[in-house]
Amino acid sequence: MFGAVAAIAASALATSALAACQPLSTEAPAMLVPPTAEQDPALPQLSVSVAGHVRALHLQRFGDPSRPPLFVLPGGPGADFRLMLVLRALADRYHVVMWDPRGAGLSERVSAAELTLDAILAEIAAVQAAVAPGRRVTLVGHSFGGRLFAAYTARHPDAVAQLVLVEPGALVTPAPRDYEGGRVPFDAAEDFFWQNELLSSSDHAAADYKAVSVLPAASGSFTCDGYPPPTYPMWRFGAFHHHVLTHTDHAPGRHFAWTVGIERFAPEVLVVAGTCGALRAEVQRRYTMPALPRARLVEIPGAGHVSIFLDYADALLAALRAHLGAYHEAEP
Amino acid sequence: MTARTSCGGRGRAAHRGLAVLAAVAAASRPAFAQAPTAIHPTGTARGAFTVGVGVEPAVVLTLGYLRRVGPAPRGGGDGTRVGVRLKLPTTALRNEAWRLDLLGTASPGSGRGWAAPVIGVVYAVHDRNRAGAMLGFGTELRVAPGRYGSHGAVALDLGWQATLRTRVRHSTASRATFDDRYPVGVDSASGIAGPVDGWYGHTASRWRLGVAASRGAGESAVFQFAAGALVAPQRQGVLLGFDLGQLPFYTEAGVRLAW
Repeated sequence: MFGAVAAIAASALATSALAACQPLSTEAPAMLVPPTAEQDPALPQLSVSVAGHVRALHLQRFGDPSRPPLFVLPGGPGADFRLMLVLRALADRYHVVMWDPRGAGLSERVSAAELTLDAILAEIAAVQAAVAPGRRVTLVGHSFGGRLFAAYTARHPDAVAQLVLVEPGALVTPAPRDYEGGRVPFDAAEDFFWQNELLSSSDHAAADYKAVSVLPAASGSFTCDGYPPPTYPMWRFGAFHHHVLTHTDHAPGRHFAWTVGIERFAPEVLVVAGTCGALRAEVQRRYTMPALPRARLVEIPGAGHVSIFLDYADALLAALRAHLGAYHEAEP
Repeated sequence: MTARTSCGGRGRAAHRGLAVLAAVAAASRPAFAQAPTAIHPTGTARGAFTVGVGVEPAVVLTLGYLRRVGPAPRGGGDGTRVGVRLKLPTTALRNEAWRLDLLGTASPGSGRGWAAPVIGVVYAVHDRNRAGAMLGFGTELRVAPGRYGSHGAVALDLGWQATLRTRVRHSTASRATFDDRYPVGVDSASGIAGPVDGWYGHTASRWRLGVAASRGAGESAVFQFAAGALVAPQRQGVLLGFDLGQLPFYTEAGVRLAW
């Protein structure tokens, strides 16, 4: 019995000793990861009321607000718009508005109940009502953001002027053998789990911080050579947002008919894709184009899911400018 | 390793709810008490090496050494033992990932029949990856209440682990997550200049609920196996989710060699 008491006492003593000093908190803002919009008023932001809650979106505007509105939405799900900042260049003809969805990037974290497809589409409508009231918007969505913009266009065809999807997540559920996006290499998964010894994903900040190490490794499936891209600009990943939108039954991440009703949208949809990685042009041809009655696919040779905004930004911008209406009209 | 007397049949009839455990234990011939999983009493043998592999769900290799403190208890039992254990994941070399345990074990009473051996651990743990380097210190307590027989044992495997202090040194990649929004020295209003290096408190905790079994092989070897749930509390209620590192299971298998 003495031994048992001694073992417990030793553990308790060690616990007390280690707990004695005042440590930093992983959950305090700006300790492990950048703060979210409601934590830092200095961030560019917009408050919207969605699903019964007022939430702070990390949202930034570029260009003259009198120009036609153009919305940019990142993918992931969970990513922020940092990768897509190159699209600021479209502010020469548009009022460019980029934001991170609730729960993703630097936007306020929300509960799972607020991350239904209806709530996400309501968020897009709320942004439109706030920054472009009564105006049709041009939408440019990347990856999962492309799916969301496609769904928004299908539901509100009269609210959208043009739709551009940059390597969207497949709009028709692909055969498992045809899609390997986001696959995490063994070493990265091992490290991800080993970190539970040191940092468990108890809340948003810790979970988001762990994405700093695992996410670039997972993006190797979106490149030509299978290796992660050298850079992957991102402020903060919304790990819980990603989990809800991809792994829960009530969320739209899987097996959802994204484009039901999109036949009511008359303008031609532009789909832009590289030739490398899990969402390359070949995959788009099979699993996105059939869901869009009027769509054109533009390939950017050599580009992957991330590099299309970095190394191939000029080609991407050229494709967008060739399609977007404001570039074919006289300067106001 | 010396055989001891056993109380293998004690209480069996009176504990119908534990009939399965008792049946397994009854199949064992009393020889030496042993605790499953991380507890490695070795009877009168003074020292013991342990080797094990586990999936937690990181794949790990453990190497340990336990030594009895003081004389062997009268009438059997395992007394108190202290030792060290090194846990290495597959990323040990690449990521400088390791955990070093200082541990003490105790088996109250005779250590035979129904028993609840206890292990207390103080550990240091390290990892280095793209986000930075982390060095943590924590404690772990495991209890294995069950039936300890002659050639084998079966028990519950209950545990709690907490990393109480972790030194985080952020990498360049981690600091870069603050770029563009928070250029160092520019955003004086919020005073944010990047992620904060330093000692963080209560960075990890996990609960363990499993079953364990062990079986002797000859006089000096014991094979052990355990499996069950290894759960990290998650505020949003996610129990299972790869994207949050939540795969709540573990398995361990190992061998203890004593002399």
